[in-house]
Amino acid sequence: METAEKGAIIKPKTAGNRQTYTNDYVRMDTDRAVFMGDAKMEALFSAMVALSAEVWTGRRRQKVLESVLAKRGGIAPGELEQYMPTAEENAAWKAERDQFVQVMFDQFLRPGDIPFAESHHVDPETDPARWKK
Amino acid sequence: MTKSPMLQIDRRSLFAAAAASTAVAAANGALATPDGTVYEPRGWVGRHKRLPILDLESQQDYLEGFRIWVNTDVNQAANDRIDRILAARGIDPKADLPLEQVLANLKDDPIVTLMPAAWLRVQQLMWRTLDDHFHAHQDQYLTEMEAADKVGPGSLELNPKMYVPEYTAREIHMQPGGYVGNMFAGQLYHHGTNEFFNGNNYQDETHDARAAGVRTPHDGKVRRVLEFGTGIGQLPMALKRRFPEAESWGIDIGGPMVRYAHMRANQLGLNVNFAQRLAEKSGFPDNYFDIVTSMQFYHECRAAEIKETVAEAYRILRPGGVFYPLDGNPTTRPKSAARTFRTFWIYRWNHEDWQMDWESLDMIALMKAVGFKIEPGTGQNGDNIMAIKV
Repeated sequence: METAEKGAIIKPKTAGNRQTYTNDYVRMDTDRAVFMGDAKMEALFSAMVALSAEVWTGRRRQKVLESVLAKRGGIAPGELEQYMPTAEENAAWKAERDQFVQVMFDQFLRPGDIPFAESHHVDPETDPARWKK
Repeated sequence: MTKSPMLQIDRRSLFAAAAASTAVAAANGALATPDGTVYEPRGWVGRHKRLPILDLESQQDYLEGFRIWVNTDVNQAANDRIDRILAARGIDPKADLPLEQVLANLKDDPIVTLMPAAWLRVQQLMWRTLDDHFHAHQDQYLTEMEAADKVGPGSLELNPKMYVPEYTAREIHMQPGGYVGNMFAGQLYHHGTNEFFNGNNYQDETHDARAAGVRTPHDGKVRRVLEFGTGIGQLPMALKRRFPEAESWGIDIGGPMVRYAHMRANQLGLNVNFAQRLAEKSGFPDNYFDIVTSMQFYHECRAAEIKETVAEAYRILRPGGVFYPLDGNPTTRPKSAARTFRTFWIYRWNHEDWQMDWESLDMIALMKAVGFKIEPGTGQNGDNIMAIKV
């Protein structure tokens, strides 16, 4: 991965002698941002998004495979690539996809605002003074 | 369903070509990989040309779904949380608070900060996967554009030696290379914005709806229309559908953007003209257009050039012509801490580098200063402003 230095002037990629109609551009630096308070946590989150996208890609390919086999009773080379989902399939798959995203990532919507080491201050039932009794 | 010429290719002949030579397959419109795998064209769904590889399409489909979750569930949870945090501290969340105060109160909350984290990280992943794909097959995609450069029905003007100001050469939206520095900027932008629009623009339906709302001159005459900062030209294409007899133009500083726009207009059979030009130096004659518009353009422009484009719009409109940017009016939009927080991270980390210029400009005053008359009732509550050349 390239190191992002904001403001650096970057030469665009080329294609031999072919005209690409590109110009130099100014580098952005979003890779340096930390939103979740911990860069490792942030990296883990990004990895989860990438991983879940891969899982969904496999699941969606399987759906196409099943649909093709069901309709044709067999499969020809390249047939999965050519399959055109029906409107009903598209709607059902997108709904399932959205549910899949929620299952994966709703964890991040947990409040998480009571540090473990301080939890006895919040809940009287777990106050160490009670445990001593 | 609209059929592209590629759909008429005989699939069996493509597989035969794959076995013999990936170059032959490529010449037939298929996508060949170095390992000998050949992906034949996957066709169109209406105005949407499907991505050439099923797994790439599925990956983008997932990222679109993830974005929808972020824009709905996460956005709602974050906004609720902002309101609760501030209210608990005796601060009115609907007040126009200083940025420092907003950040100090919200920066450590896990749900509030999840919003920019999730939004930006999924976007980076989207750009990376698309950019990798188009560059991995760059010979074939360049060949496709080179062939399209030479045909119509619309015209294409590319100016590879023109001066490209540094302020336009930013990686806006974190798009790799921005609009000027990536030979596949148009392809990236198109597939990326299909996801930005939460899956609601595969048929250009968002642009058709926006085009339908563009205000027209009071005399009803619409012979020539122009979009500043056209990107991949979806708005002038939609305007062509709305005004089929009119001459429709789109200009943009991004050469790869207008190049892709031209190719797509041809594929859709639309006679729309594209040129690589700056909005503030459009090069059109005085009094040429009946309507000059734009869509989500001005928040990507620096204040000095915004002022110049307003004057340029006045110059190239005919008397009675309408300047109608589809950019809203930020100075009359309701304020809130949530909006201030979002505007900040969008500006700083989504690299909309001139967003704060746009947020602070009084567009109505700028328009009046160059001679425009403002249509009463427009530009209120964040709505679009209709300016008429007198």
